[in-house]
Amino acid sequence: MNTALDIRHITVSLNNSVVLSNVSTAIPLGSLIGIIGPNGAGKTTLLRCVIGLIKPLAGSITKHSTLQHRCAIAYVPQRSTVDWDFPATVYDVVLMGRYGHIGWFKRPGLIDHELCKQALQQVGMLELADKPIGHLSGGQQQRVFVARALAQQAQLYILDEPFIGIDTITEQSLIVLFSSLRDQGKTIIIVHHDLATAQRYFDWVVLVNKQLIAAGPTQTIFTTEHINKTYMRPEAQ
Amino acid sequence: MIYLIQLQIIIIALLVTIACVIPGNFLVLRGVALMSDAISHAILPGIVIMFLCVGTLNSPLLIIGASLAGLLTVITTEALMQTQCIKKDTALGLVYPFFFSIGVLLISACARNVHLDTDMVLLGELAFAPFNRLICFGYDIGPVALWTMIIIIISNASCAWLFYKELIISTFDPILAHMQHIRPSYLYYGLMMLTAITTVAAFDAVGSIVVVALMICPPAIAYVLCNSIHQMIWLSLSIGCYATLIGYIGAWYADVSIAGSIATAQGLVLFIVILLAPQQGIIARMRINQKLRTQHALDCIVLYLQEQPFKKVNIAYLSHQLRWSKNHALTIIAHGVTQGKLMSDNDTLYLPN
Amino acid sequence: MIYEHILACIIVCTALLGCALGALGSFVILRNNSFLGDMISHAALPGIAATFFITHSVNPALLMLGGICSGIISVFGLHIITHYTRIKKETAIGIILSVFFGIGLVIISHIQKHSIAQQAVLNKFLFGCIATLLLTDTILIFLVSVGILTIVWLLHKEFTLSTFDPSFAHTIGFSNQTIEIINMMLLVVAMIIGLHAVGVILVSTLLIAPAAAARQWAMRMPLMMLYAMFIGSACCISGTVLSCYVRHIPTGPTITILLCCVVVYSLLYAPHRGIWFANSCKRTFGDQECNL
Repeated sequence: MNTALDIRHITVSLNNSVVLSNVSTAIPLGSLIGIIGPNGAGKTTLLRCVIGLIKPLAGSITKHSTLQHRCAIAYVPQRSTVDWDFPATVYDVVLMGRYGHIGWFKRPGLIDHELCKQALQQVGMLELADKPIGHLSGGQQQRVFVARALAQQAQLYILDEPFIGIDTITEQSLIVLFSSLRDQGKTIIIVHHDLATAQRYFDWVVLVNKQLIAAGPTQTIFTTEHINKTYMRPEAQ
Repeated sequence: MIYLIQLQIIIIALLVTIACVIPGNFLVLRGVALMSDAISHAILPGIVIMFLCVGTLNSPLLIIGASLAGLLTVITTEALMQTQCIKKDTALGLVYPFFFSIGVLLISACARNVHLDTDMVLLGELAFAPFNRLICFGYDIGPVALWTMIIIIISNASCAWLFYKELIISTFDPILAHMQHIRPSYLYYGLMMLTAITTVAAFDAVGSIVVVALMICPPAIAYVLCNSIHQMIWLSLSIGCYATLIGYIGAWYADVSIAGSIATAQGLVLFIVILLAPQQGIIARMRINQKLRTQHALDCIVLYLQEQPFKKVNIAYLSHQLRWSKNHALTIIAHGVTQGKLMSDNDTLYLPN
Repeated sequence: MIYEHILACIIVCTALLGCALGALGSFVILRNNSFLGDMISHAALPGIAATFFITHSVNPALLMLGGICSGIISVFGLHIITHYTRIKKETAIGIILSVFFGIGLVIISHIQKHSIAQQAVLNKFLFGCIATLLLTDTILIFLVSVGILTIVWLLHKEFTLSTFDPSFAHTIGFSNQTIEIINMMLLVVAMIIGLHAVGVILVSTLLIAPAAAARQWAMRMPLMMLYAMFIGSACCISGTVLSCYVRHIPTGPTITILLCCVVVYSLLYAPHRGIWFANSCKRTFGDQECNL
């Protein structure tokens, strides 16, 4: 198994309390991975460590050689973190996905515009390219973020609760899109909240509740015993 | 004689502090602290219009004019925010220069020959406060500022006491307040009126910017240190008075503006608290983080030792395996030995028992 | 002749300031930093006073340098308070604003024991020297404005990215800290130069009002900046000309009131976002079709 991310002994503390303790796991390359756990389990914290937004108290994360380039990791945040009243159209936001490749000072070129249009086509938003982002529905907003990540041509996609508050049709079309990305050899990590669908969607699951409960292929790891252990209160573990 | 004047100045300064801190607590909790800054500038046209009506600067009607101007500021800001096209801080940042400019235009158009300066809004002079006396039925009963501030304190304190739980709910959860038929908007406008009245009464003594310092700094300091609103209010009153005294003493020794010195002292106390507070301060947090790091590293060593066949390891080999420097390893080991979790013997490290 | 010369200087200076501050202000209001300009200009007072105290010189460039230093310290102080305590940004801005101003008052009162001189200093602080701008001021403001506009043009996509989605900017390799530092430096320099020229009230309004008005007309960032620059300079020029021809009206407040009126007009009548527009659309087409 090729490893996309080798997470070793990650411990994170926020506001003087430990939110993640000694998490060690290996994320396989070219898979659709689900990170599952209750609220406050440290799932978003783990993602932010991987991206480099938070410095862990201890531990290290080693990335595969194909993920060393600065644009190799695409991050799709929770929708609430962005100001939707910002003066930007759908196209402007997707074009931002190319800025990492363009670099400081330079302007987007023809290739960047081409890749943007392709990304919008893949998520089915090409007709809405000139719409201001404040006028979009929840599902459309999520698709814009995914298109931005696609335009970035990343190797690793990290999505934080992408299916919250969106309709079933959008959710299905996104999963089909992610599966095709996985078939192209990309790695997709999704923080997911819905146990009912997790078993269908993911090849590999990581169960987290302030520490690693279990990680591995969905068939073997996604068992009742492990789920109970993940969702139990920390004192009872 | 001179000590009597000094005493009066100190008392007035303390009264101003108490009067400002009471509404300041609720402003800080609601996150509308800058409203006090905006109101202190925007009351200028209210004062000018009242002055043009009554012809003198010493009338209590000026306070009414200023309070109405303060209320108008708040109403206009809320109206701008209702449009959903402008954010709260932008709306506030537009409204108060607008009103202030109207005040300035009124002064230059109508009141040019009179001693009405825009600086009066920014500057106040505590040193002169004791000399403005209140004569009642022929008896001199003390400085005007003293009695004004006492009345303001009584009204602020009684409003805060009467409406305490309503203020708390509407600050924390406006929707809950609405469902319990507590009108959050009435409370909000009432709070702003009180702020405007306090600002007007106080700026004659200390100037408007220092009023802002007194309204915001002591509650902010208490906010950092306390976990309950009750504690916060009492602590902010004590810290505010304490900092005011320090500021006054500093101004006395250095012969500088008393108002400026009070604001500086408030800032100084805040700075010290941020740095040195026992659990929330920067230094305390760095220490706690360091302890957590050390503890984690110690746990790593214990885990490692537990996996070894003979539960012992050479220290140099351990540092090589964990990729730590020798000094770092020795520091952690020393902690472990003190806590009784490790035992060391020259170059070997092993678990007790 | 001299009168026209001064008038030309005032017009050019205020128009350039309107341009530069309008461009910067677009990012300021979108980051919810509207009071940051106010904070920086109030916080400049101790720097200016301390520079005068140390050097005994009234050279404007030197005093402004002092103001810029204390402006930078104040921004740094704001960063420390918001990141290391639970005090919210708005409260922190109020703290820094009032405490620094208090320190400035202390220094001024130490230099000048007479309250009349203190009033003169504060008068200049409030209103700048807008009525007496000279050629040297014009050249300085021209150079600074052109510098600011050039940097904003070069880096506008980085500023936009960092304002809209800082986490994303970080993941694709842009350093948010660097971008924010550059943004803050430009803001501090612009505010202090503006403070010297037009005073604290007008410079805060020039930062926010053109951008707030432009936001109602523009759907995209580059357009918003251009509109803000245009509105800023147009209002400055009109306000200056108006205050010239009507007696007893000071220039600063006139420009402020004009700017606020433009904002209100934009809120009411701008297409797509204006209230009047939305209401008349609803009356004509009904609620459903008015999601513009």
